[in-house]
Amino acid sequence: MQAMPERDEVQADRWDAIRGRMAGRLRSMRGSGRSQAQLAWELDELGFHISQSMVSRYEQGLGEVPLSLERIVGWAICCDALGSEHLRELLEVAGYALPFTRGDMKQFDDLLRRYRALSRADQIVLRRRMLWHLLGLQPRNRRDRPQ
Amino acid sequence: MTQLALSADTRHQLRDRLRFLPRGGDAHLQTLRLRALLEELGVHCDDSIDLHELDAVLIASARGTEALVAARLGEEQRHVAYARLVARLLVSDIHAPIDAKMEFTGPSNARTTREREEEAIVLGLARALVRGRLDTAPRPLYDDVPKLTLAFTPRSAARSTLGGLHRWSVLWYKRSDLYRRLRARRRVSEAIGRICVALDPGPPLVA
Repeated sequence: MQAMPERDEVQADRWDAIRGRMAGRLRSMRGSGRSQAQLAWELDELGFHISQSMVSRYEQGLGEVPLSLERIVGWAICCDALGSEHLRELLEVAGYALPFTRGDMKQFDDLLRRYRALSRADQIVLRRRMLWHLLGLQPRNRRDRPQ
Repeated sequence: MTQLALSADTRHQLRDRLRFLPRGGDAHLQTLRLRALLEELGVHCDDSIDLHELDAVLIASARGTEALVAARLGEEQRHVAYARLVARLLVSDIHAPIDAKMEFTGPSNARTTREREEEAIVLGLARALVRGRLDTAPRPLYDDVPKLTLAFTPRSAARSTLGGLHRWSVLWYKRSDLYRRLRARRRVSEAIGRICVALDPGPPLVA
């Protein structure tokens, strides 16, 4: 009888199969008006430890760690692209779903654009809260986070 | 479209509870009362947020409603911020699936006439709340009032007239600085109270 593959192995194989398809959509979501460095900085402020080189690797389809739902949504928040077709396709490819309609997501984007008029510090606070409202996660303060 | 966690019923309860909120005490105590009121109605409050430009923000979605208040505010300012959040909940339309109402120290970023009028009502109602004198704001903002209808009996005609006066009051309250200042005067609010009793002696007048 053939042994079942390890769960991690399945995950790794699945990621290998989809990461190339995800790369182009991640690039499109960022667009030309936002640099990889800026995106990496904003993702870090949002609470994800993603460096510029990691952004670059994911956008080339070379990222080794599978992108979680939280990271994909965080990526879209930083790109003001929650209502974009690219995010919808990314979630579909990765097999994730959010309990919001396309119209809902466009309203989330409208709100993100309103946040852009605020100071950088206030934007970060509000984006982290938006992540909670999108995913049902409770953001922790930086000082509470284990080092 | 996804519905908000904050229902019309919650807002109605807030109006009812607000009218019977105890008055007096220092800013800290009054802030605690407003915060407790919001928490009891399911609004999660956090006043330890590192906000630089905003004083407070109200975020509502299907996941819940939260009131975020800047940690940098002093007691008096925090009291005003909570009063503004309560007034905002009472007055503003909150849109699904998510909405955020931002409270600034200085001039707001209201762009349209409608936003400016809403801002004026919120500020006026918040000021009345901070002073502990809700009656210095138009009653329809925090209480059920008679409606303007086509009425023919003496009793219903008087109530309908009162409904018309209330509508007129809210209309001018959001449009006119002068009317807001007049309406905030004790003598004016007492005179309006007497008119309300004369036209509708039935329900008890909320001071």
